[in-house]
Amino acid sequence: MEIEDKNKTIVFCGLPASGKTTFLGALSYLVDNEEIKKELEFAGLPADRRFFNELADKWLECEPMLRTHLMSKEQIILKLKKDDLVFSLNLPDMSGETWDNLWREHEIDKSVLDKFEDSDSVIFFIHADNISSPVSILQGNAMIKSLIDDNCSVTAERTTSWIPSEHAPTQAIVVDILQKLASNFLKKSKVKKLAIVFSAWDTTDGSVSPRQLIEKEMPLLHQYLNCHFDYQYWQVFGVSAQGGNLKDSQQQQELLEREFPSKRVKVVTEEEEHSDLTKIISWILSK
Amino acid sequence: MRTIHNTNIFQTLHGYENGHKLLASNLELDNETKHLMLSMSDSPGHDFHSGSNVCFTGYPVNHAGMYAVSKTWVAHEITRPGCVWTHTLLISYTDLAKIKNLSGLKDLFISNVDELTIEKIKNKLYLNDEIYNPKCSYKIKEMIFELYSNDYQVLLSNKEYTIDDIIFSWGQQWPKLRRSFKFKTWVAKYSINNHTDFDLLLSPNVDISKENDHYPDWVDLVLKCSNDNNHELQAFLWKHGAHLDESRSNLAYLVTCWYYIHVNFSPLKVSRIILEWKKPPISLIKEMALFFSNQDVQIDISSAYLMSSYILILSEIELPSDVTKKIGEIISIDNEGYIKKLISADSIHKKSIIIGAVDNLPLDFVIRLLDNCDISPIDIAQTNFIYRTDFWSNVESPLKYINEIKKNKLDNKTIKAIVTSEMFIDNFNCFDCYFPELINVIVDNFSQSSDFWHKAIIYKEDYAINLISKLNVIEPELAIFTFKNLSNALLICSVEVNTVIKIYNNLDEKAKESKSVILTLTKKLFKSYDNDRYNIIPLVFDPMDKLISKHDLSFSEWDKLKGTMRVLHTYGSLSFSRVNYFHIAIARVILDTKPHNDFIYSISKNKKSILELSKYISKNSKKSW
Repeated sequence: MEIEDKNKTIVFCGLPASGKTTFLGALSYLVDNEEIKKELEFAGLPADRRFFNELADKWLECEPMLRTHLMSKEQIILKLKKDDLVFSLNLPDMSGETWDNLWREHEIDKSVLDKFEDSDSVIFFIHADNISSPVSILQGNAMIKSLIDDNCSVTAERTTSWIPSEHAPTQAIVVDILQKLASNFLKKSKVKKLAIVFSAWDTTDGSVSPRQLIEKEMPLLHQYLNCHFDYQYWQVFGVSAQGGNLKDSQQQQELLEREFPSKRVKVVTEEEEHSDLTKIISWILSK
Repeated sequence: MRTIHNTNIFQTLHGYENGHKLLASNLELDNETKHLMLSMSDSPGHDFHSGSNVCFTGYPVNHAGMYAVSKTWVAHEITRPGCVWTHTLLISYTDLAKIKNLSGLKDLFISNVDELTIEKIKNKLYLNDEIYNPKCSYKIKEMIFELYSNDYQVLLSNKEYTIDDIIFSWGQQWPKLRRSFKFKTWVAKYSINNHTDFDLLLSPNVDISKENDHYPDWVDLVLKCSNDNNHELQAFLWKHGAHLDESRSNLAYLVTCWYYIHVNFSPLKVSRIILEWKKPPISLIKEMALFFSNQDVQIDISSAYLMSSYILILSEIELPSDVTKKIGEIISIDNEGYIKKLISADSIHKKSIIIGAVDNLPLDFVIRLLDNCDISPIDIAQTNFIYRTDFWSNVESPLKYINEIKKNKLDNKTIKAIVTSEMFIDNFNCFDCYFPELINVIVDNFSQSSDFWHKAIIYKEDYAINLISKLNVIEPELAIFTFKNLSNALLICSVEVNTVIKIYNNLDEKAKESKSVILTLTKKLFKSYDNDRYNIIPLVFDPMDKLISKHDLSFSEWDKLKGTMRVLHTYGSLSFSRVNYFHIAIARVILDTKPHNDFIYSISKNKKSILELSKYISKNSKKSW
């Protein structure tokens, strides 16, 4: 792999509760510990380590990450190295509401825009267990049929009015945000790279790969990515940053008892399964 | 300030529902407002969620024209960590300006969220501003001092202060300041830098400060007036606060001014405070200027500087010219550079300031003001500057200058200056073309004019005499002066008899009896060739006869008089006494002018003298002289 820039900012993007901060927590721990072999090595502590340590500690203790609040200006600056090349990676932790607002209101803070003016790569998080799939015409007709009573009318109390911002399928939201990012945020002159991360991958049954999940459940997104119009390179990853469901105390206890916490992490791709989160970063940063 | 009992308060509730959102509101909000409130209502930081913290936030929502006070607490009911509830009260700026006290605000906040809360939020809320029950901490003085002694952000420990302290401190502010004030009662130390636009922050990471025993008087005044429910100070703050910017430190200045105006009256101290003040309120400056414009109030250096500093603002106020002159005078004595700047400020009071200052200004500056037409010769004419010789010698054209002044009618001061100036004495001949008018003015204002100009009248006696003869009323002083100077032999010949008599008649009785007047008049009688000169005889005969009889004339005086009589020293072989000599001279005048016989008898009651005179006349009338 050849690293392009020595200073890089990656857009961490995703709707609320899509696992962005948890990913950062796991990454913070991983880079700071030598428990597993990593593609990118830690090359020195960042100047401001408060947020870095806070996330790493929370991840280590299997505590659910606090939601990132709207005013958050937190970011993790990592000094990483690949072979002899040392580079700095800036990972701003933006709230999910920031991106949700971009979809709902078509609005975003100027400060966010400024933050990403030099960036050309995005990691988009989708909670694997929280995908609102589109309804096909056949499915829709079947649903309407079930709602019709004997008098051939649909009762009002059994229906709700369709609100685009509330009821749009996840793929429509993701495509809209990705388009806005590519056309308004990212550096236009550069080749753009996108990593789609399905967080909480442990909640899926594992019958399909992350790429297949997109193909099957999010056809619009799949077509959009395949046309390479906005993002010349894209890759899909399934990530379980915690390694299990923290709401389940038994699972939480099991995770806590792991000898090498880094091994809680699971990264799934078409080709392999491993615990090295830095590989996602490495792919994003490669030329 | 209107007393209102119930103010309508709007409310919103924010919480988590697939992201932090506005859950309920009893008013329609625009997008900008929604966006601002969404971010302000979110969690103040990660540490906030460890425990049962509550954060109150106050901030303006300018887009909606409202002020928001919110209460944020941890939403333990929600499984996702980091979620909060925020109940926000919104007060329209109009109502905020009417509310006397805000202490009841805290009681309007809800403390928990249940199924009914969303519906409750849609209801109206009312604040009763009659309720005044502040529950301030014992360190409230420190908060007041820290907030209003300067404009820096105030960071205090949230262990020492409560929302009551903040509402009390905020409530002291006037509407404009109230609606710009921003506070937050829970801020993590690491995020303080993200709140630079807040006035007051309370943080759990700040050490408890040491107690201070001594605070400035204004701190005690604020507390005292609030505790006494004294609305005088509040009315004063609200009146003048409307003219101030959003600096909190203005409160300290205003309270101190209020003290020196309404409690311990000292306008000069108020002046000094206003002068130290970076941006004082225009209303207070005007109020003080009106106060100082009262003639009975003495203007000192502070008040002069106060009014001069805001002279452009004070253009709207009709300051008496005496006051602005005084300002000019005081400042010109104190600071030459500043008075020059003040003059160049071009206010409507410029002229009177210059007039007040001009005596202390450098000559070249005054000349430049004249050349630039910043002041007119008329203005200068009102000052002592015109007494300065160097002024006249530097004025480009003194005559033109005089002419300019003349157009506006010379006043006494100008005349005095002109008629005492050495410049004019040296260049007296320059005045030929102006002389008739100048003399005219001098004669009109004789008592004010100097000796030099009196002499000038004599030098230009033909003008003077002509003028005098045309005057209906002659000042007694001028009459005395004229008689004194008419003794000049040349002059006495040139004055008409009637003019001399007219001047004589304007003399007071004492002057009429004076030796010099009698001598002058007698000389005129004998030296004149006018046919009506006999009219002088009744005026001088008896007094002169008496002077001669009593030997009151000195040898020199007699000698000079005798020279005018044109009588031979001896008449035949006879040698005359002085009295006879005088009588012969009178007789000669009578013989020459041939008045009516009755005239002779009317000239004196001295029978003897008349008899002798008659005899003498009849005896000699047949003979030639």
